[in-house]
Order: sequence, then C-alpha cells, then structure tokens
Amino acid sequence: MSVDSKPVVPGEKVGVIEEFSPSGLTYEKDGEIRSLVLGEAMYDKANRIISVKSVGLKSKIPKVGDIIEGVVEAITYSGPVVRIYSVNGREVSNDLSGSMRTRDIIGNPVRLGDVVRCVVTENINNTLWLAMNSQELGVLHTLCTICGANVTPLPPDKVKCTKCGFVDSRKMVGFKPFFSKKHFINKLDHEERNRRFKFNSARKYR
Amino acid sequence: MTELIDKNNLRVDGRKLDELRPIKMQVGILKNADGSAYIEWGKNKIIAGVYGPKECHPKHMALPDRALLKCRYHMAPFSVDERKSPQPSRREIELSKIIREALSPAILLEEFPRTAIEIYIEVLQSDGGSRVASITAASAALADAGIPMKDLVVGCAVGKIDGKIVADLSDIEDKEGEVDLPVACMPNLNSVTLLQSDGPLSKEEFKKAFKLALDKCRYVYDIQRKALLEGYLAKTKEA
Repeated sequence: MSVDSKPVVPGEKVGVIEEFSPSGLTYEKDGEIRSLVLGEAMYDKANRIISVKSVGLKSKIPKVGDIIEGVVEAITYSGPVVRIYSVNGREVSNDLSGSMRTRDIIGNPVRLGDVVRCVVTENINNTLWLAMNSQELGVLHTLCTICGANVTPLPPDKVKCTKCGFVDSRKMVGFKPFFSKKHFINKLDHEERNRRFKFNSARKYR
Repeated sequence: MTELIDKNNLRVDGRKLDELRPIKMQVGILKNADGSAYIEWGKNKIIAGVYGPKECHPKHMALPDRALLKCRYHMAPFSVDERKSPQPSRREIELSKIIREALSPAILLEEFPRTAIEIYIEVLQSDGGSRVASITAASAALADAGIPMKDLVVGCAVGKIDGKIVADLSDIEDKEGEVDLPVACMPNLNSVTLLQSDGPLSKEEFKKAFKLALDKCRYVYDIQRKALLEGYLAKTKEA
C-alpha cells in the first residue's frame, strides 16, 4: 500500500473527486476535495482515499467510552457534577463538566471535592453523562468529611478516617461496583424469568 | 494638510500605490492558549489567542445546534499615541463584532453544539489597518488550535487618498485620506466575509479598489499559509 503525504492548511485543495474519495477531516465542494484542518494530507493510492491527519484539538471533547478524571464540583438532585480535567490521561483545558445520574448510583459513592475517575456513558449534544460502574473507576482521592484528615479504604464500600475514625461510604478505585447488571432481571428475558419462577415454585412446594 | 502622494507617485512612507507594508507572521507562540498567532503588519503588532471548543459560560448563552463564537478585540493602553483607557470602547466593541462575523462563515461551528470558541485579540501597537491584521492573525490562531475550518480568512484594506486608489492604508493615510475599504475573504472559496467603506467611491473606483483588495488578500494568504506550515512542522518535530 502506498501512502503519500504533504502538509496542508484549512481550505487547501488536496485532490479532486474523480481521483480520490474524501475521508477524515476533508470536505468536497464543486468537485474539489479540500482540507478542514492544519495537518498532513494522506493519499492512500491503493484505496483512492484522501484524509487529513491533524495534530488534534488541544481542547478535546470526550467521546462515549472515554475515561475522564475530574473533581466533584456539586451534588445536585439529578446527581453529582464532575469538572473534567483530563480525558484518557491527557490534560484538557476546556472547562467541561459532566453529570452522574442518580439512577446509576446507590448511596453516597462520592462527596463534594473528591477526585474521581469515570467513564463517559452518553454524550447527548455535548451534555456528558458519566458512570463509575467498574472496579477501575471511582474515587481517586478523598478526605474525611468531618475533620478533613486522610482516610483508609474499607472494602467493599466504605472509608475510615485515620484521625477521628469516622466511617463514610465511598466507591473508591479498586472497589467492586455496588451493583451491576447481574442484579437486574431483564424484563425481556422471559426464559430466564420462567426458569427462576419454576425453580422457586418447585422449592416452595417441595 | 499633509501631501499624501508626491509627484513620483510615492506615498508618505515611500511606498508605491499598490505596495503593502512588510508583514511578518508567527503561529503557536503562546503555550497556554489552545492556538495563537502574532502578526507584525508595518507598525501594527497584534497577538491573537484562541480557546476552545469549551463549555459555554454563562450556560444560557449556549446554542443547541452550534458553537458560540466569542471574540474580543482589545487595544492595549500603550498601543496608540496618547494613552488609551483599557476599558472596551465603542470602536473595540464594534470591531469585536465585525471580526466575529468575518470569521464565523469559515468555522464549522455545527461540529461543536453547546460549546464556545473564544478568540482574544490584543493590539500591542496600532498603525492603521489593525482590523484586517487582526482577522488574519485570528484566523491563523484558529487553524493552529486545530479547529475545523472551510478556509483561512485573510484581510487587506484598500482606500482612496488624493483621488488615487491605494493598497494598505497606514494610520495617517486612514485619517487624512478620503476612503478606507477593508476587505476580508476566503481566497480558496472566492467568498468575501467582510466589506466596509467609510466614504464615497464611484462604480469604477470601487471595482478597481475591490480587485486590488482581493489581489493583495491573496498575497497576505501566502504569508499566512507559510507561517502556519512552519508552525505545524515545528510542532510535529517537538512531538
């Protein structure tokens, strides 16, 4: 496969539609393919495709599945609000925030000021929804809510203050999620439901 | 009144009628901004910084279908002969608006709904034609920030002094001349994004001035493109 490249600026003509198909970060106007960004135009001569490779936005908006780190900025009725400081380990400066839905959490997994690691579950028109539903996600750093001293984790869902001994609930990184899919019965899964019903009935009338 | 054009058809600073002042451009000069550019256009010294796309504040200003483009053109107190108050003047607010409107057709704002893209332009030294220099620098800063754009935007002012059409008016020519006609365009798409005029021109004069402006925009575009590619190569070398 032969791929040639050349640096281009936005709006620069990179090819014509008779020769190539426009792909990533290019657009077509009046039969001409132009670049959308400052970057390197890549000519895939085997597949006849042109794309532009950019250095990328410094201010990156997270996609679904991205891991973000941030600080809990507020706890509202609809859930905790997290101010995002890094996306996939890369620092961002674009002042974005995301929310965790109350329906996705049980108890008080986070408190105000906690440093958390979450996954982006939904991006609805750049409104980000977050979750901490796996073992590697959760609170990275927290302090005692009573005296502000350091805490030690008490698995599965608690932390204990090293100074005053106050025990509080948290979903720390490394803790298993408080609940997962297996705790719910899929309403559409009739077979499983019937099987369970039969099993329970049999046990009842044994 | 000062004589702006002498008998040899040379202007007060010794330029020919269609000659631009020397232009120097550099991109990626600020570490903390997402994109930045610096331009020296004659005695004009302008710096532009871009942030975004970022969360829109105040949130009620966010647009559901596209990004909000915010622009601030500001002149430093030491940028003019007499100290200028640092608070935004009527002229600065107006120029912020026209620069925003000159740049917005080029940016793919629909790609980033509910966010904001912020452009900050600081004029460190002013000498006429600072709006077109600001547009040129801001457009380069946007490209440096990696924001998708249909084309770069470049500007150049033309005007009429002593009854003759000239390119790139300096401060004295702007003040004492008859007409100033700033033009900004997207040279690859043949689209004009800014056209202003502060005096009367006949149909023929306008045609001649407009053609000259577009020619000079093309010249400025080459300088802007060269600066962007140099900045890009330096960035890739670092990475």
